[in-house]
Amino acid sequence: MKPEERENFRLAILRALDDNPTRWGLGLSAIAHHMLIYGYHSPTTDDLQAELAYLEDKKLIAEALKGISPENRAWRITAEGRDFIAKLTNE
Amino acid sequence: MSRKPRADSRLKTLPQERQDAIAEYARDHTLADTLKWLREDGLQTSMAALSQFLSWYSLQEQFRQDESTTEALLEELKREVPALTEEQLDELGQRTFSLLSIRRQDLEGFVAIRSARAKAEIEKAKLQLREQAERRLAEGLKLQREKFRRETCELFLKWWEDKQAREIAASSDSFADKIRRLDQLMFPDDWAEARPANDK
Repeated sequence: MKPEERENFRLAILRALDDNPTRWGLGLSAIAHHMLIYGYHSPTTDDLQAELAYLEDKKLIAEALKGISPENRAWRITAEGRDFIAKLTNE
Repeated sequence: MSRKPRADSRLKTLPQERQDAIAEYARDHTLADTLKWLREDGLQTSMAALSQFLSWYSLQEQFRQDESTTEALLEELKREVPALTEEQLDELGQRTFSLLSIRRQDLEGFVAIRSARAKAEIEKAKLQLREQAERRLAEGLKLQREKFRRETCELFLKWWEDKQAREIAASSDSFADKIRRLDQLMFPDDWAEARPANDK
């Protein structure tokens, strides 16, 4: 992925997570599914995991339930993540 | 430099009740009608922004329904299997919610319907504009024709009262000569301007 494509991909992840207003997180396949709205039909698991790790490292997203089952990981957007999107949208 | 806020984000930041009211209205009305209704209420937005907002709202609604189904299922499980720990219930809940959000939401259809609906609305709006323009043109032509008829009759009456014009009309001159003489009588300034050039 080129840097600009990567940026858009990360934004699509953030927006997909931001669309979920509930207390529950979205798993890998659910995030991939919801990224369709933002133009990504079937992102690879590797790409998705790499960018989720990056966004988590930046504290823009967080794991919804930590340390129970690695195969059942799910993520939610953080307040920082929402602020990040709001800045992009409103400034 | 600050950027203009996205129009759909303005709708997304409205109070929940207002968002609910907009979505409710849009259920029984076209996008164009909803847009008109919002404008009458002082909320300026575009059709694209409204369409985006309604898609987003519908998605949120579906997420909330999935949440509600998940919570109901967990309550049921808690009653039926009291031995389950809170952590296990959370894990089950998380998995259920995530799966529901995939199974329930046909996003391909969702995106296609949204695009088709927006496209149809735009086509309809274009057709309405074209029909309005054609109506205006037809009305304009009708008015012009009425004006032309009225002015012709007025001119006839005006010149019929003119003795000189009546004499020219009643003379035994040829039709072309009558036209030329009447032209000189009615538009003497034009003939005066033309004369020096003709004299050269």
